[in-house]
Amino acid sequence: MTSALGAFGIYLAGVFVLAWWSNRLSAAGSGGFVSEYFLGRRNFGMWAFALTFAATNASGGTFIGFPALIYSHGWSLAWWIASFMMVPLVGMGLLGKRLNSVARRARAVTIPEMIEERFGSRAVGSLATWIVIVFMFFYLLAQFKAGAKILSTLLADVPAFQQAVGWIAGAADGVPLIGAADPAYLLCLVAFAASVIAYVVYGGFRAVVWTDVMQGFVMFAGVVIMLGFALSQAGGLGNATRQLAEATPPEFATARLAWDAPAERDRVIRRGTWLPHGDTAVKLTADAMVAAGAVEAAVPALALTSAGDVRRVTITPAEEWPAGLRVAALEEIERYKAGAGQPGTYLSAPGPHRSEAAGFLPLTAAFSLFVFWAFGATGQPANMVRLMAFKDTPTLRRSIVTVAIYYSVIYFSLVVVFCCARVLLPGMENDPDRIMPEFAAHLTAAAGWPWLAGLLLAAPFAAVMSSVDSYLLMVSSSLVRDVYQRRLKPDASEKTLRRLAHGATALIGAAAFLAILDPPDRLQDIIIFASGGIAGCLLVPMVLALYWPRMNAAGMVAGMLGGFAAHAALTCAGYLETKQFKAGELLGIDAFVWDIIFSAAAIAVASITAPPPRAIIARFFGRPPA
Amino acid sequence: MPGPTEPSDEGAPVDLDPDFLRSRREATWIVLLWGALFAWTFLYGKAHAFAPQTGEIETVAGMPRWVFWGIAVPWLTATLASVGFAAFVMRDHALEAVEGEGDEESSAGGKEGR
Repeated sequence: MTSALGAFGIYLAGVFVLAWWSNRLSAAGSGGFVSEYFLGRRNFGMWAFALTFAATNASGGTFIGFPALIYSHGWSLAWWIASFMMVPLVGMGLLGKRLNSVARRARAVTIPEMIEERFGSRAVGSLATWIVIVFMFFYLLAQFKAGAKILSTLLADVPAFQQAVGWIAGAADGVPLIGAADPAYLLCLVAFAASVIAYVVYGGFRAVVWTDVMQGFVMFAGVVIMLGFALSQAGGLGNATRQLAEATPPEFATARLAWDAPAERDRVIRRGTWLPHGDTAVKLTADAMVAAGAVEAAVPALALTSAGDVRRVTITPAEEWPAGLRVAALEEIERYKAGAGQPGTYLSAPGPHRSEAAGFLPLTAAFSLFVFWAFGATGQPANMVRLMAFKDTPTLRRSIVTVAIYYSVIYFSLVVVFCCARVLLPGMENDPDRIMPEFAAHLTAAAGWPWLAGLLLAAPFAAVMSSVDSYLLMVSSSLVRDVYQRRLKPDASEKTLRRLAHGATALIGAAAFLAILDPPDRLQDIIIFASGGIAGCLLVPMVLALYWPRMNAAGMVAGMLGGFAAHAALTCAGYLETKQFKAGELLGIDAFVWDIIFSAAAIAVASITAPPPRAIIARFFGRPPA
Repeated sequence: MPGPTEPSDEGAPVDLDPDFLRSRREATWIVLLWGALFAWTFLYGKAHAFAPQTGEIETVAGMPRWVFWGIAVPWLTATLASVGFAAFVMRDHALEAVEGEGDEESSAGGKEGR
């Protein structure tokens, strides 16, 4: 683990060197501070633009949540993610040239500023500003949590880290706000937040882009290395698929443990212990607390149900148990609602599911997701602002090619890798979010290269970092440029703007840090609300703002509010039905699809009012002066 | 020869920028391409992905047959189409330099066609 930590340390050092170099480039350039700090003077070439776009789209979900889903549901995830085949072309090609051109004509540095200029309306610009700030802040929270979790996974077995956690626990005890936080999580959150805030404040957009480039390479290398190891250790993809065909979902139960003689002292049988039980194997999914004098205990457990899976797990050595320890019985057995006892369920749609009888991917979900991934990515403001930053159209064309190849390799390979993981490392269904670090450690240890685990774990960390830095800068640019400079103090000096930009970035990062000290259990639901919501608000209005000269300010406002209203209404309906912060699925179709339908309908109705002024049409759609 | 115009309530119609019209045609093609690949994956998946995988498992290139023909092949097609679109269909045009940003090179690579 020490060597893995070393590899990870080299990655982090590389991030800071790039931030320093970016800062030097910024200082050497000419032009205004705001344009440089928030948009890098829109002169990025192919590698910078392509990889910042690719890396920003790959978040913690790509390397933590997505592998967990593949592991839990099998090959149906290939269909679930299939829309990414079109994300490069739709996400960059649909808006790229027009957005860049209109932003230049508007001399805009941010998306809300561009919208305000396009419609000649401060009210429209203000609405866009607050939509961006509110939704992006939710994103920021989720990625901070993911970064801290990944770091704590990496460091969990390092003695120095455990000592530091003990020290933090003592120091934070009784301190308001931070005293209640898990000390390991707190320490990692401090380290993650401090490092990201430092390089974003120091280097601005240019540092974010160039660190994204490095992070993009790290992600690519991590996935390709894992693919090679996984295929090699699974005996090839065909062999992995055939073994996966024999697998059946595990059962969750309460294991009643018994042993021969009363325990002489209090002791703990650790979570993760594997015990034999008849012709199956049982994994304890929580620590079993054994009191002195006791002869039995009950503990939550997971039981494998297929012979192939049982063969592949390693029963924990008996010397770690009380004498004669055995699983006396499995009680309160919970079987999967879809796929239980069905060989082949991991190979076909809808895939197994623990709580949904319809399975993981019913047809309506497959339909929704093919719309959502491609167009949802197009509607993300963090992507749009990157489309404002490429230097010329050849850069855009080459970047589409680069990202198309990049995404094909990354996403399809991840499906293959974690289908192999389900075969090679069964029994992780109780905590599937840990499959990425566990499988990385498993593969590198089996290959005899344990230090490589550091690089493989740097991949999800890089994905989180490359998203956090972008969202952090989005929020601060909206506050500094759209609220302060354009509303409150148009004649602010460069020096003031510089101080304010640095201060706002640090302050927003600190606010996100404090807000996520005690992360809610269902944070993933908030992420889905934020990602679907902002794309539902902005996608259709932005497309029409760029391609339909007749689109007016009333249409833009109606489109944004229409999308927001649909998303809010479906979320309320979903909450009433499930008691979870989750958008309802009308007719089984994802809320995002309804959002864009309502948004388009609202624009159609509102646009019957007066067309935009001639000067606006001429400025953004007319022939440029000779 | 005069090109397409956008009517205006305030006087003469606005002559539309040919680069804008070209971008709009390209955007239309992108949406149509997305629609074609959506139809391929969705219809093939609907017909084949839900069939129970029992008995002798039929794989192509190591993956279930429906994944190969319904996902992997359209994915490869989409990637090739994206490359082809960017290389042969999408046209370059000049992007306006923004005064004060020091991006003099911004228009250099984007002059008129390829």
